[in-house]
Order: sequence, then C-alpha cells, then structure tokens
Amino acid sequence: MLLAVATAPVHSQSNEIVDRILAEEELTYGSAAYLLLLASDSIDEDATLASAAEALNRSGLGLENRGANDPITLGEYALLTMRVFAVPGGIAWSIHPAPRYATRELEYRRVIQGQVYPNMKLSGERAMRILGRVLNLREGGAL
Amino acid sequence: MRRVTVLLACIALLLPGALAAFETTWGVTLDGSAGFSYAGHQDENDPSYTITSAIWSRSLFALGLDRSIELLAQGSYTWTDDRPYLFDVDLLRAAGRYPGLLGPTSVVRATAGRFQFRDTTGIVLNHVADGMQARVNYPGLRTRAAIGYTGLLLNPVSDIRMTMADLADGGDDDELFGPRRIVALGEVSFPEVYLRQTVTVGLTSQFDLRDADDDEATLNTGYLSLALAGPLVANVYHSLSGTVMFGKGELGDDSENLTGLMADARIRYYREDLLSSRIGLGLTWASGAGDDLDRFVPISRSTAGTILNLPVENLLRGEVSYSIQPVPRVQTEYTVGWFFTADKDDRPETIGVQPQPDGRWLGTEVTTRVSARITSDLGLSVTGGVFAPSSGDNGVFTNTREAEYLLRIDVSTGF
Repeated sequence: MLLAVATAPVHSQSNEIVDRILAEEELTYGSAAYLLLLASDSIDEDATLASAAEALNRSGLGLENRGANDPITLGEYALLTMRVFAVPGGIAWSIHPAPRYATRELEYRRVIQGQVYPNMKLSGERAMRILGRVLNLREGGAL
Repeated sequence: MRRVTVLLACIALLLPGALAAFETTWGVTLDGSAGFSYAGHQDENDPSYTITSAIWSRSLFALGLDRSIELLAQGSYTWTDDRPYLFDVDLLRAAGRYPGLLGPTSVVRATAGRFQFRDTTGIVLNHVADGMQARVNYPGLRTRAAIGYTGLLLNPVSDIRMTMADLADGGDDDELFGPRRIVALGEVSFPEVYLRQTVTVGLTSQFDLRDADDDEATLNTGYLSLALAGPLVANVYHSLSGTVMFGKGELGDDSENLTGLMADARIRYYREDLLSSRIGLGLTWASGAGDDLDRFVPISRSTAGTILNLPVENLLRGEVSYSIQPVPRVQTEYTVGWFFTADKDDRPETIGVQPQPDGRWLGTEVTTRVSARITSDLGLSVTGGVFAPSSGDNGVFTNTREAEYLLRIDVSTGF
C-alpha cells in the first residue's frame, strides 16, 4: 500500500531506485530530492539521485552544501517537503522557516507520526510513508 | 563498593543493550486567558487575567531493540492579577518503554518523576503528583500500579481539597505547598474482552499526611472502581463506571468510618462525515451525607460545571452536548447541564443555599464554546454561558442567588 500511494506518479522504470531508497537506514539528500521531485512531477523517472539533488539545488528549494550521498535528518526532510509542496506553515515557520518548525507543522498535520525529533535519523521507509501522507492530503485538498 | 555494584546493576537493568541514539528538542509556549463573569449576588465581579509562559524540553534515549527512555521537563511562569508571579515545575518525568521485557508479547512502561496521575474513572483522581508508575501490557491484559506524593506541589496549583482544612489552606498565601497526600493506585484492564468491550477494575487510595490540630479533620480514603467501555453500535460509544469509596475521617480523638458511592455513564455518537458532529449524553451521581451513605469525596477537586463551582460530591448531574466543525479548524460545542444534590439534607457549601431546602434542584447551565486553530501554532477559544440557579419548592437556593454569566477568551501559541 505504501508503494501504491507513493508510486502513483512513479513509473516502473524507477522501481529499482525506489527499492534502494526503501532499504536506506539513513535517507540521503539525493534520495530525498528524487522522492520529492518525482512526486511533484518536477523530474523525469529516469533521473538519477545525483541529478535530482542538482535539480533541487537549482530550484532554490534545496539545502546548502549537501552532496547527494550525505544523510539528512527528519527535520531537514520535513523542511524540503514543506518547500517542494509549498505547505503553508504557522507563525514560527513564516518568521523562521527552519527544520524544527517544518517538523512541527507536519506533525500537526499528522504527516509525521510516532517519535518526532528534528535531528533524528530518517530511514527511507519512513520517508516514503511521510511522502505518502503528503500526497494523500493533496489529493483530499487539505494541502 | 557494594553500593557501586548495586548502582551498576540498576543501570544495567535500565539500559539493556547499547545506548543507540540520543535526540532532543525544546520549545516555548505562551497562554493567555481573560475571564469576565457576573453574578448579582456577589459583591465583586472583576475580570480575571492570566498569562502563562512555559519552556519545555523532550529528550529520547534509544536503547535498541525498540526500547527507549524519554525525558520530559516543563517549567512555567504564571502572572495573574491576583499574583504577580508563580514559578512552577509542571512536568519532570522519565518514561521508559521496554517491549518484550516480560515475554515476547509484553510491553513494559516505567515512569518516574512529576506527571499526571489518573484513576480508572478520571473523576476520583486526575492530578499531577510526584511518584512512580509501572505498566505491563499484553494483548489481552493491561496492568498498572502507581504511587505518588502531593506535598511538593505549590499551593496555588494544588487541587487536592478533600477536607475543610485543605480548603482553608487553599486561600492561605502563607502556605507554600499544597496538602500532603500519598496516593496509590492499581488497575487491571481486559481490552475488548467481549463484543469489543473493555473491562477495568481499579483500586485507588490516598493517605492524609496532615499534621492536624485538634480542630482539623484528616481523611484517608480508598476507592474500588469497575468500568466498562466500548462501542454499542456503529458510531455509538459508551462508558460506564461505578465506584465505592471507603474511608476513615478523624477529628481529634473521634473517628468515623465512611462509605460513599459514585456512578458515571456516558454515550457519544460520532459522525465524522457530518462536519465531524458529535452528540454526547452524560449522567454522574455522587452520594451525599444521608441515612445510608456518606458524602462521596474525590481526591482531586474537579468542578461539576463550567460555571457552577461545586465539586463532584453530593451531586446528580445530567448533560447533553453537541459538537460540530462548521468550517475547517473551527470546532463549536454546545452543552446543557442539569444539577441536583444527591441528598436533600446534605447542603452544598456555596452562597445562597436555603437553610433547609425542600428541593434538590441546583440549577441549569448552558454553555457554548468556539475553538479555532488559526495556524498550527496559534489557537483561540471563546467560552460563554450562564448558570440559572433554582429556588422555590424544588430548588436549593434562595431568591438571593442570581444567575451567573461567564465569558472567557483563551489564546495559546508557541515556538
């Protein structure tokens, strides 16, 4: 079901990349860029993780000084998610759009569930579940 | 050397496996409240203002094997127009979670510090205390045991007011700490044992540690509760509980055994598809001092109504509520409550009560609340209502007791 939701915009050719991301114990910047940009129809299915990271940086939505293989935290993934999908945030987010406020916003919207600490490691599987909930909310008009 | 060995053994028990990870986060909350009330029978009807600022932190020690210890701390500063400052430690607890510690399907949770203690009913005891709690859960069985102490809670925030001496201390600014009690509770619960009904048996007790003068009463009580909760039919849920209170009151050289009863019944009907509508019916009865029973006295003194400031003692309360979400992020709730004394001869301690009331009807309360989550970190709620006291043959009050009106505005934010 996770793959069914998160792979709605993902075609079969990228299944190998998605499988690799699912197996990551620590989500990398390139993997995060690939998932988010593919789900938002901003890159093609045959993009690589490195090109996805570059595309994210070129769009101005990425993190500074991050290589495609660098791990990112839950808070940084929340920040990228907020930026890519233009999720409206609260007062604190509007004043200072930082990972901690992105985490709280997505926790409030029940996109992030379970243990929530902005600096904690993020697995590929959990990242996919978060992305799936974001897409569900968008389909339901809540985002 | 022996103490070091014991300490290391305790650490080894508390930290099975390697310490895998440490995470932390923190925040600040700001809450403001303005209350405007009017009652013709009261000399003063001044508005009340409260501002509370709190800082909190939460830390996680991941121990591996899905086991973890979480530390939560919150301290606050409160300003009111009656008191310019009040610093308090709201919460300070360590909570460990140990799946599989007592069998492959078990989950053990251990908590220590300052945290909320709640009994089976949520009416007898629902209050912060300093102590320990252990839970052992299996798929078909849940158990809980806790012990706590209330003597380190600041007097203005303590709601442990079981005796007249406790109530008198509540208004004494020279008392730094609230009433001292040892509270203990044990509970066994069988979740969804039959037709998705959950059965719970709980035993709660409190021991009065007051160093009482000859003219001050002390009260030790125990409560045995039986509760049943679960779905009735689709979208309809119920909860039932019955509690027997047994206790001993002492005043000087005199002592008296006490027996009281309490029952609570609630039904809720949910319709998320209809603007998140919810209809609720509730009935609560707590015995009064009469021929056969004594007044039921809960440990924590919650009020029976939003405006009616009487505890759940010597009381029969019926209420109907309706809640709806007319637009996203806005919830409205309408409640009507009817209040009676449980025993005609047990007079409530409040203004305007007839010397020997013929009736038991205290009055009717109608309240409305609108809550809005403007953004994820900004909330606003407005509560308004009226309590109409009942006088005459069926009523408890004299004509001097007039209707009471309330308007309260609460704002909360954080970062």
